[in-house]
Amino acid sequence: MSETPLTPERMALLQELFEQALELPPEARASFVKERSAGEGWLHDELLGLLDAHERADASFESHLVRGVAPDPIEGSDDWEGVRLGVWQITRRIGFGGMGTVCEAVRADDQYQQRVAIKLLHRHAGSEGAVKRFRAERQILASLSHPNIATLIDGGVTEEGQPYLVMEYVDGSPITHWCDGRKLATRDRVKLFLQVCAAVETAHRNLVVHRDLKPGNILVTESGHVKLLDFGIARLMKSTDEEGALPATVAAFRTFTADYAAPEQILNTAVGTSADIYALGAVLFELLSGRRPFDLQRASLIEIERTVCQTPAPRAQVDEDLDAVIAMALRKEPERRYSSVDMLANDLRNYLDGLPVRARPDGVGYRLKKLIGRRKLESAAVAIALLSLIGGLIAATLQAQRAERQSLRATSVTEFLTTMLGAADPASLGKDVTVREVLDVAAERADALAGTPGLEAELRTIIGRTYMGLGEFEAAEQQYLRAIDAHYRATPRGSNELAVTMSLLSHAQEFLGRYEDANRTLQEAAAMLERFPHRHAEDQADFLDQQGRILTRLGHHEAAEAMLTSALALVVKHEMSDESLATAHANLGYVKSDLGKKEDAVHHYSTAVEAARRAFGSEHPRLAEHLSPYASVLERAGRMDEADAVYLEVIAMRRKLLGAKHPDYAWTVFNYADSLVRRGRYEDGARYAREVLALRGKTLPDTHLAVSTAMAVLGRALGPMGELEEAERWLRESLELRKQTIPEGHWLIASSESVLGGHFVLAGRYDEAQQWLIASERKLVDALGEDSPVVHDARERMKELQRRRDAEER
Amino acid sequence: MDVTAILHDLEAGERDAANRLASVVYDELHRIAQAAMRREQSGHTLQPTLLVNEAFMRMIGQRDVSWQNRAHFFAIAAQTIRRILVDHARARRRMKRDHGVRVTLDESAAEAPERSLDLIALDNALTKLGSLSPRQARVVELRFFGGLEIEQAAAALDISPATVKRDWIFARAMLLRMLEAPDISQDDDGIGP
Repeated sequence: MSETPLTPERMALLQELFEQALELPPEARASFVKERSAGEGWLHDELLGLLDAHERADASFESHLVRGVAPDPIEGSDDWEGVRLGVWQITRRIGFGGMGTVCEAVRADDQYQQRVAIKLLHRHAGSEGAVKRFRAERQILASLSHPNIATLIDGGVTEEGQPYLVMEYVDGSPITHWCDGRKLATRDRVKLFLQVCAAVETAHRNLVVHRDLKPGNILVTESGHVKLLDFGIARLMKSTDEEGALPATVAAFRTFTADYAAPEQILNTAVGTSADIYALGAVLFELLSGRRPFDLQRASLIEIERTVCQTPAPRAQVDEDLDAVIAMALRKEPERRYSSVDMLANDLRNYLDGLPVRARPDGVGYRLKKLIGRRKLESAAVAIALLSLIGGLIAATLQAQRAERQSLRATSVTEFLTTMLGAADPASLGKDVTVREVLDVAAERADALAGTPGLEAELRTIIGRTYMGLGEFEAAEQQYLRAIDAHYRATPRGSNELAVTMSLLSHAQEFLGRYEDANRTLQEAAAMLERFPHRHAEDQADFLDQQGRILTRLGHHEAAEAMLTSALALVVKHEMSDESLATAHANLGYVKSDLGKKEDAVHHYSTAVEAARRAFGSEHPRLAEHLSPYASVLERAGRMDEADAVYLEVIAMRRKLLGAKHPDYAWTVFNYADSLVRRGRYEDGARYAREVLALRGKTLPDTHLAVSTAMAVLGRALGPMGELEEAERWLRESLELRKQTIPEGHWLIASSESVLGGHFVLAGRYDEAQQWLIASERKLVDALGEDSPVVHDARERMKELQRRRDAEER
Repeated sequence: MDVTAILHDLEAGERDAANRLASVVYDELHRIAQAAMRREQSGHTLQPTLLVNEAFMRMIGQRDVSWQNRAHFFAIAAQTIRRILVDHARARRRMKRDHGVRVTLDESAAEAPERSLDLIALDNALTKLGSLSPRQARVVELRFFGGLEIEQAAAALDISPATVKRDWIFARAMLLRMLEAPDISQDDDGIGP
């Protein structure tokens, strides 16, 4: 670039001249530039540079747009002629398409000069595992033998890692051209098409799906013999992909032709034999009517997606029966098409024989669409929960589909999805279906999957996660338990997935306040992870984190601090996301705070909040998770104004995002209530505490720490307000509840006792006060150390007792 | 409040709707990108427009949304995915620099080819372009990271399709020039986008 710096004004000038130059024929541009930039060297250089860049920009940019940010350099190389691949010598390039370059080749060592077509696939084979999968797939295809299917002869991977396939060379023309050229009548076209069906049916019986049927792949030889090309290649291409859960949509677009692609291919969900049935419908549509079902020639990706997935196919307008047959093959929902190619072929034979066809016009409800379309979701959180459920189910279906030979498994997922969503159809249940109801139905239907325990485990885990997202912890626990049971049935010696489900179970138990159970479950998970460790540092960090949290809850602060410090170190070392960073800091902040390290706690929480704001923006449930404890920590550090501001921000945010019944909302409110009471704002504090207690038995189980703590807060507020009796009742109930739900000897129980002692000070019942205060103080110091804020509070109560006694003596 | 509702608010001019949308979109995109990045570690391509499309399918799917609203969704998603991908690229670059070797848990990644477009360089160039001509930078962001067509980008930016097209062609050439300048891939650590 030239020395003169660019400014907005100079940019505007450049753009104007650049555009004018582009209007001119290329040979006139240089002199135009020279003329217009007289005396301005920078302008001259910039303009020429830009015009030159423009010539290259098309190839460079647009291809990135289509191919992504790691373009494959093998694509586009053009000098194949003469290249030898194994025993094959390439003679010429005959085509170049979305899937690869096609060359003609001959057998170099063969006196018969056997002619073949070699398809060099665009995709790089990548890792060794990918090459292995490619070879395995190739083997299956090579065994596919049918007179109407072009044989796969050979295949391999070039030295540069590019996979190629050697296939029978077919000299023919696309079925549509062939028929049009011979002005074939409809009946004859249908008869010819039956050959196509026979070939596809054979392939399906061998568990090979074509995935890219189109006239260009259905050739007819001079003598009228149909040959299908490229069977299973789309899948072969996929086999070179990593086994990620979500294959590349745009990449997938490149491996099939949108005109004949079924909605599930466009959406990149499960693709099975019914996608071929759709494609056959589309080819038949074109063969008989001379048009394609949709005009997608100039459509954008989004338009294609919308048209193929939503717009019903128009009638082919050939013949009433044939129209119905085509329409049935072209249905949006795979399960509503013909269930096999045989069924389609039978209906075509019915037509030829003058018998009634079985195809029926639309009639059954579009349940999935209805469900998603009609649902009024109460909050973004719930919407996301539902989406993640459906997304998860689809991912599971996909995974099942990948193991296509286990067609039983794939089918049962599809059935499961359909029945589950079907039952949740608002029309069949009454007006207002909640997400909870959808999930309950899903959980019940999962019983039907007992025969495929691996799948059952997977689905129950997803359902459990979704319950968790809704704050339905008990339901989540039930699903996780059953998922674990299914995992053991599927793989009795255990698996990493099992450990993951165990961690999730522990999480649910933690939320239910059953920390001992949570800890036990987590230890089992840790044992399982010894044998089946996590592969990603993120997962390792998550696990450390969870262990740290449970230890904290159980009062093992030092151990928890160590665990959480390693988790944070792992997150920092691996440069994990802001989200992970926020979580790690927040958890460490929590334990630091419990250990009385106030400034450390403020530091970790403020770092967590910063990271969360970067990760989630200014209003988000996850941001609130960090803001809420940040407020408490600020308060403990004596930074009251800051704490107040944060409390009010998070209360408003949670009320708006989660609703007033969500346990997380309750937590924040109760924390604020506690803060208000500490500062002597008793009436406000009591009001907030009662709001929390109103959720007891509804969204908050008795075992939830917020319940017993809110009771204590209320008791502490009522005392100074003069409501001594009611205050004592709440404090005693709080203590009882804690004794029932928290392990014996936990400092939280001692803390309750201390608070009760404080109440007796206030009530003037000094002997009782002394008894409670002395016993609890010792336990608190033992558990938390001298520096803990809880110990500090307990000592304050003792001093107050001393002061009052002194005053009375005087 | 679901995504379509937020989109309606956005259309109605509600001030915080863009923020709300950005935060839910970020959530979803981040998960999708994370999954994709794990695949990317073994040498496969990572396509921003594909990630955005996937987010769209997951979050809006087949619900009835006006095409202007789709454009808004894609515009926000484009911005978000740029942030996520560039953050990721920066993190990886730092990781390589700090540890000398690439840290991965997947052995196949060791043999994976390293020829991806230099996202950090593109991001830097785009930021530089944005300081000179914000609108052009937005057009590129929408087209490149969001996969928006000319008309959609026009709707999202509320300018004419002709302007988008002119900006796109000029900005493309300009960016290519910047990318070919020697110093653009230098990263200034610690400064997020």
